[in-house]
Amino acid sequence: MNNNEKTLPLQDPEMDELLKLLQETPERDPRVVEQGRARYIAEVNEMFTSSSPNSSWLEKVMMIGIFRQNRENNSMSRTMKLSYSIALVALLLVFFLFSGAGITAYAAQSALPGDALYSLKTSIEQAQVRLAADAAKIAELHLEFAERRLGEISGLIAEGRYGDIDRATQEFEYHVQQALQAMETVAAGDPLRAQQLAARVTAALSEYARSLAGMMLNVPEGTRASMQRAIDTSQSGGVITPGEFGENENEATNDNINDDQADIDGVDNINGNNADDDRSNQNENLINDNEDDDDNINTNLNSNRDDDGNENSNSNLNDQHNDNQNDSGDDNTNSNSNDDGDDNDNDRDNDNHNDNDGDDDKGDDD
Amino acid sequence: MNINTILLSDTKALDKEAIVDLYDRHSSGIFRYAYRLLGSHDLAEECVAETFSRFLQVLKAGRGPTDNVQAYLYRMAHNWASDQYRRQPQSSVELDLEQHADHSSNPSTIVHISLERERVRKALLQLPFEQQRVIEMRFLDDLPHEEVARSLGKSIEATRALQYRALTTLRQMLIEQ
Repeated sequence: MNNNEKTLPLQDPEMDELLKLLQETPERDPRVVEQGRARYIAEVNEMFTSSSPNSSWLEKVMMIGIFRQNRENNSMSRTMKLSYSIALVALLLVFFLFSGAGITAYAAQSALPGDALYSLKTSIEQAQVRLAADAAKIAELHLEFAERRLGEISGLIAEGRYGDIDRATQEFEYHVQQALQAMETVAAGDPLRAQQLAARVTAALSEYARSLAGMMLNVPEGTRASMQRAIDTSQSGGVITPGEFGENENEATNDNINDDQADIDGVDNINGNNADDDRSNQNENLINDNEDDDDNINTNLNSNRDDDGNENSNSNLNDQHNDNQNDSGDDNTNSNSNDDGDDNDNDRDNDNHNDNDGDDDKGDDD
Repeated sequence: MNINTILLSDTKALDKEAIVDLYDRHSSGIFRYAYRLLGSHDLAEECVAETFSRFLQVLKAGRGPTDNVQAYLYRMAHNWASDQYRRQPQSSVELDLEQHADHSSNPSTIVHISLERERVRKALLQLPFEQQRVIEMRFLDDLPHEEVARSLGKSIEATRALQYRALTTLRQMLIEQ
C-alpha cells in the first residue's frame, strides 16, 4: 500500500491537476539569497556576541563560509579545519596589514573586477563582514568596501575595461545598501552611536556621488547607465532624510520591533493579526517616547516602510501615533536642536506620514 | 529535526554553527512554501527573511521550539504568510503572466490557468498549517509519507489522516463547491 501510494500519489486526477498548478516556483535571485543569508548570519553573530561571550574567537573563524562544513558530513578532520583556519587568519592578517584607508590606496590594490584574483578579494571582504563584532562595524566595513569599488571603477576606466564596470557598480550599490541596513540595526540598539555613524555615512556617500560624477565623464555611453545608478544609490542614501533613506532596509528594523511582540506571543498564536498590530503600535510608541533625542531616526525608519504595500497597514498605524507624539510634545524642540539646522527633516517626516495616512485611508475606505 | 540539533550536546547551549546551518537547509524550502501560498516572488523572499529573523528573536528570548525545529520554522512562515494575506486588501487575482506563460497557449488559456492557480492558492491558504504542509510535500514535492511524517514530527498514520482531511476540504472548495 505504501509503495502504491508513492507511485500513485493521488487517485483523483482532477484534484491532482489543480494542485499541480502550484507546483512550479520561480528561481530565487542568488543575490537576494546571499544578502538574506548574510543578514541572517549577522543577526546570529549579534545574538551570540550579546548573549554568550564565551563563543571563542577561533569558533568565529571556523564559522567562515568557505570552510564551513555541514555538520552531518563531518568529512574534514579537526586538524584540517584548524589548519585551514590558521591559513585563513594568516591571509586575513596580510590583508589587514596591506589595506589602507584612503581612496588612493584602494586604487592601488591590484585586483579589479574580471581579474582572476578578484573573487578572492571579495570573499575575503565577506569574511571580514562575517567576523565583524557588531552592526556598527559591519556598516563601516561596507562603507570601506563601497569605497574600494569606487577605486576599482576608476582603475577600470584607466585601463579602458568598460565592460567590467557594471559589476563594480553593482557591488558598490550592494555595499551602500548593506551599510545603510547595518546602520539601522545600530539605530535600533544604540541610537547615539547611530547618529554619529549616520553623519559619517552621509559624508562618505556624498563624497562617493561626487567622485562617481567625476568619473562619468570618462566612460562611453554604454556604461553610463550603471554609473548613474550607482550615483543615484549614493545620493539617495547620502542625504539621510526620511523620504530618501534606503527603503527596503527600514522594513526590517521596524518589523523586528514588531516581531518582539508578535513572536513572544508565540508560534501557537496563529491568528494574532489584530492583536499583533495593536501591540506593535504600543511598542513603537514607547520607543519614540523614550528616546526623544532620536526621534529623527525613529521616524525615518517608520516613514520608509511605505514601499511595501504589506507593511503599510502596520506602519501607518504607527505613524499616526508618532505624529501625535511629535506634534504635541517636546520632541520637536529636541529634534530641531539635534538637527543642527536641518529643520526640514521634521517637516518632511510629517509630510511622509501624512502621505501614508492618506494611502491607508484610501485602502480602508475601499 | 530535533531541537537538540541546534544545541551543543555537552552544554545544551545554542550551537551557532547549527543555527546558521538551518538557514542553508530550509530557506529554499520555506521560499517555495511561501511562494505557493502567496504567489509573489518578493513576498516569498520577505517571508523567508522574516521567518528567520523572528526565529532568532524567539531563540534570543529563550523560547523557541521544544522539539521539531523544521516544523517550527515552517509554522512561523505560515503565520507570516497568513497575516500577510489577511492584511492585504484583497485585490483581484494577481496575474503574473510572464512567469508562467506557456508560449504554446493562447491568451485566454493563459488567463484561465492563472485564475485557476489563484483559486487553488486561496483554497490552500485556508487549510490549517499541517494540512497545507502535507499537501505541499506529498503532491507538489512528491515526497513519501515517511518523510512527511518525519518533517512534521508525526506518525505516518497521522499524516495520512491529515492528507485525507486536506484533500476532502480542498475538493469541497475547488470542485464540489
